[in-house]
Amino acid sequence: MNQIPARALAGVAGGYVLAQWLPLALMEALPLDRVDTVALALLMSFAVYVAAILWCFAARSAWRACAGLALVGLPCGALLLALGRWP
Amino acid sequence: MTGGFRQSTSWVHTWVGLLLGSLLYFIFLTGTAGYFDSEIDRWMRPELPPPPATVDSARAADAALRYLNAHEAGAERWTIQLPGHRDTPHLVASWPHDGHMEEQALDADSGEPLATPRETGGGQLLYRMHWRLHYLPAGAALWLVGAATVFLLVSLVSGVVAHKRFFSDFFTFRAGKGQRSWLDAHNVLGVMTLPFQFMITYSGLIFFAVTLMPWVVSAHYGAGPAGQGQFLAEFSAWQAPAAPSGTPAPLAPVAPMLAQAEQRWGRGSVQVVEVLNPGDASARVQIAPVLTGPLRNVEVMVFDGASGALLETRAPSRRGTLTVAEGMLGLHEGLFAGPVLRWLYALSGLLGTAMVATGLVLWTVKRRQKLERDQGRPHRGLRLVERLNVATVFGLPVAIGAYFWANRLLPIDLADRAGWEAHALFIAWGATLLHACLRPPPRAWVEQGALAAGALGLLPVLNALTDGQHLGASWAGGDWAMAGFDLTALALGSAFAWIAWRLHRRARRTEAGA
Amino acid sequence: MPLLALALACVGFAGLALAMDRHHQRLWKRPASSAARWLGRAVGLLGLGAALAVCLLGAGGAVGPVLWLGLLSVAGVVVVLALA
Repeated sequence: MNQIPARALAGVAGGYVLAQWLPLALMEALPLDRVDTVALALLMSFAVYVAAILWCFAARSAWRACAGLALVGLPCGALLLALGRWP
Repeated sequence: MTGGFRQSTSWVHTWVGLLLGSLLYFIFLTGTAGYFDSEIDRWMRPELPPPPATVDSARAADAALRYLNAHEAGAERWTIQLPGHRDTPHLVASWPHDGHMEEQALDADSGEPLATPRETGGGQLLYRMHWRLHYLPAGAALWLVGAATVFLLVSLVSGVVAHKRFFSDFFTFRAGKGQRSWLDAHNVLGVMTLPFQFMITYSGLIFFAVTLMPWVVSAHYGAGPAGQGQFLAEFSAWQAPAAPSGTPAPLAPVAPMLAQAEQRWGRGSVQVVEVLNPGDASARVQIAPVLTGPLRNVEVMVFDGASGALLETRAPSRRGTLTVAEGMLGLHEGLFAGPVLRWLYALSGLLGTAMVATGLVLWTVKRRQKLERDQGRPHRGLRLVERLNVATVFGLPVAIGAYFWANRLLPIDLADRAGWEAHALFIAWGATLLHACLRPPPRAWVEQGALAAGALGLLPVLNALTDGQHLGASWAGGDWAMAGFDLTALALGSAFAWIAWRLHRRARRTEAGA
Repeated sequence: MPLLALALACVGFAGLALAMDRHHQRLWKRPASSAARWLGRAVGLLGLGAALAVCLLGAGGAVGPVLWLGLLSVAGVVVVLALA
């Protein structure tokens, strides 16, 4: 029973944010029209969500779990903010 | 793969599984019933005649057009569903009225309205419950079902990844070993339907993707329903219908249009004929085929309504992302499935339902065995879950049976009859919960098993005695939907009877030995 | 056609199962020899592959694989029950 509530919260909440920010950020690298961009990001989002949740339980501690999410998520968020794609 | 990961994901799988298990069981069971929604519709509207055995599409379309011309000439759009397909067994004409669609089933030869059936939600309502639930506001239901689905997906992935002996346990089921047997069953049921489980879960989420992941859409289209609507319109390449010109013009004969369509797609392949702006010079007739594959977006032939000329054969959008999305949703719905594949879909759904059920039972069996080993006293939580499990696993089938019994026993002119059929389902489910709380679990399982056996197995008798046909007549008359429902109900009832009998014998032996 | 594909899938899964020590031992009282393992896996691959071929030929490239996967579920459960 290693820090389950903290990991679960990080996974569910942090994962939800990452599930939307990461695909959007990745899509910025692809020159697709906005329909395909949004569609592809939506299709990907649930896979990212599941991966994020699993990461939060695989990480060696809840702290590392959060750090991992932040490490990937914050640059994505910053990129989106800078590009005016702030949802 | 560290022991910590396996342990933690196992803990989450167990506890969230327990919390969401009843909901997932409900979703799986009603969803499985949904693969036979049309057959259930048929049984729940016995007043309608059996679907026509042979169909002349041109004649049927003309019959519908005669009716629509006579009764709904002013409508902006007519939609005609041609009979002869599993999900459109009867000729049905529909038109928009006051913001919703009105429809009338018609005789395929004469165009006369068929007898108005009893007000019922039918198989469609039962199927809808699997994502819309019931009594909850739409948003709440969507988020709850969405959360349960994400959890299921996490459980499937973690179950595979963290299962130490995935390959060596692949074909393993050890009977008669208590907890071990239940775990084996739970694993086998999941593993043997794994492709279906992943498909049904991920595609289920795609249905709600725009609502569940709103920031993705709002980043490019702006916030709120306006942005979402804009995205969906662009994604599906939805074309707004042309405005009427105001100049009246009679509709050209539709039979030649159907002939062209059938030449392109094959005899009997046309399923929907839509007339936009009927009676106007700018009228359009859009003809669509029945689905033959998982892709739901099909080619549509568009004809000029006044002259009858073919204007375009509108190919489905070539957009890759739309193809992927429509393919996933099409696989989930299985509308294209023929009889064999449809039964395979239903079987996979049933095995998935059993996967959830075995998980719930495993939780209690594991703890009971531990108690016996440690000579402990049962914890209140364990006693509660043991009872809830009965009401979930056997109670819901009883409740669904009650839905069908209500369909035949409620007075025909009862106000909100369809609503009351649904209430009957949930009232019955509540009753099974009460029963499960009042009886010792071993007895409760037997009694509810017997109740399910009766509630389902006696449906053919109920059918014969109340406005329906008896099985012999529907079989002889080729009314496969009606006969199929009765036979399936009989088979399910028999299965429950056998299980209840076995549980009864086991309970007797335990009581005798105690 | 589906029945043929189902039969092939059952044979295939049976082959894969009997290539495993645990199940081999139920029938032959000793762990699988490397020849038996090789044979079992070959039967498995051929059976499942042939089932897929039958489904593709019978139902086309879009519906065929869906049918195949559905039949595999049935075949898998059949083999599990046979070995139980």
